[in-house]
Amino acid sequence: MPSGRESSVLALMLFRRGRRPGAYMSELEDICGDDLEEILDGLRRRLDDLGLEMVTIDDRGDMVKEGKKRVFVRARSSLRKKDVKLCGWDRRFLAALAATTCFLTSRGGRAREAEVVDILKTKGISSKKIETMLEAGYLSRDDGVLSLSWRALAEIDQERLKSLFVASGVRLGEEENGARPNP
Amino acid sequence: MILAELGDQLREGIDACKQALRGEVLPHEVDTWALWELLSGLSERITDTGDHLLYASLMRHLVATIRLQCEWLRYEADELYVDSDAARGKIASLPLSDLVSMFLRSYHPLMEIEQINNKALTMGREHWRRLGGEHSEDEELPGEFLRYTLDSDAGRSVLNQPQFGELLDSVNSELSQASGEEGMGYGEFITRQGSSGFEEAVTRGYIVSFLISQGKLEWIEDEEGVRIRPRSGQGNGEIQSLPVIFRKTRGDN
Repeated sequence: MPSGRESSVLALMLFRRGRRPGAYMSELEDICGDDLEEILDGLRRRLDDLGLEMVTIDDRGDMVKEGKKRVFVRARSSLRKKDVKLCGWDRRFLAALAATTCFLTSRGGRAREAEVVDILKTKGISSKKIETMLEAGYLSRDDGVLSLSWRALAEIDQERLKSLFVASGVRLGEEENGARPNP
Repeated sequence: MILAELGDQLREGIDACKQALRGEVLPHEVDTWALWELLSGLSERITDTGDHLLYASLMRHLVATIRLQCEWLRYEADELYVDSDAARGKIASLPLSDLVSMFLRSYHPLMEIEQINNKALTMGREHWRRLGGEHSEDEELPGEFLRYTLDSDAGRSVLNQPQFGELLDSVNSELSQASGEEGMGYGEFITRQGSSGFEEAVTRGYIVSFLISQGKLEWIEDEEGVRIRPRSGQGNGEIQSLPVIFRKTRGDN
């Protein structure tokens, strides 16, 4: 059984407040004090048994501001094709997300919106999907520039996506063995 | 205004930083060192509030641009650096299914639980209560519906019955015998004063509606309620429509 503080930490990370789940590291420190690392280690082990893991991102909506660490719980293994329906997004949206994140990742995480719209057009995808991605927290928009936002940073393993992207078209299908494992 | 002659340089610096932050130019194209030297030379000389604001604004954007340069440098040094023009061409040439497959292999959905509080629960109950109609809680929604329209199977089966005309005549004559000039309560008639079953009431309601629409019966609504009676004379020939709604309450058969 998890302790009272473990339960509180888990609840903070899992419950959605406003539009997003997760908790700031400072909130967890308020609950756990000096025992934070110990409690997080215990939770990591429990989550691991369930096929889940904790991930920390630098939550910085603006390049000018200092970021704050935010902790989320996510699936440890990537999504299998047969489980796609479980994630709640339709295939069309996932295709838009795939094209957009591949392009933004290749641009260091940010690009002008017009360029992203062009990319989507080449794949026959409506640019309206950008609004959905913004609402869901995958993208953020600032002065005509789109950046990967908190949900994309938490859910998408960018290193792996890059390695798959680099290998694609060259020997797609063989890269699986040589790809970098998930962190 | 010590900075009058340098104001334009500061504004140009701010614009250059903004361009880099917007992704319009690459971060290393901004000469951040020159901007830093400009700022460090001015720090002791400014006194005016407006100048302070301009100075602070450039400093803030300069810091952000240097941070972006660091990230860009780290990214370009990455062994997996992807040239953005090549990336654009590759995305265009790859089949969408390959892109999705690649994406799914790097996609780890977040786990989240939506919480509900007392207020949200109350609002939800109120929403469903309104959707279900303004009836009290001891009533239940109709468990069965018989919908008679011209196109529906139920409607066709009634209309195609050979005895449909006889049925109309019998209902008409029943009403004539049971009611005088005053007419009879609509609800009492179609339910046989409460003795009919649900299905029979629906059928009689449909027949009455049909007879009213054909001008055979008259529909009167006053303070006593809704009454029907056989129409005296030919009427004005106007076709009327009468919607019929039944609600089956708890305890009804």
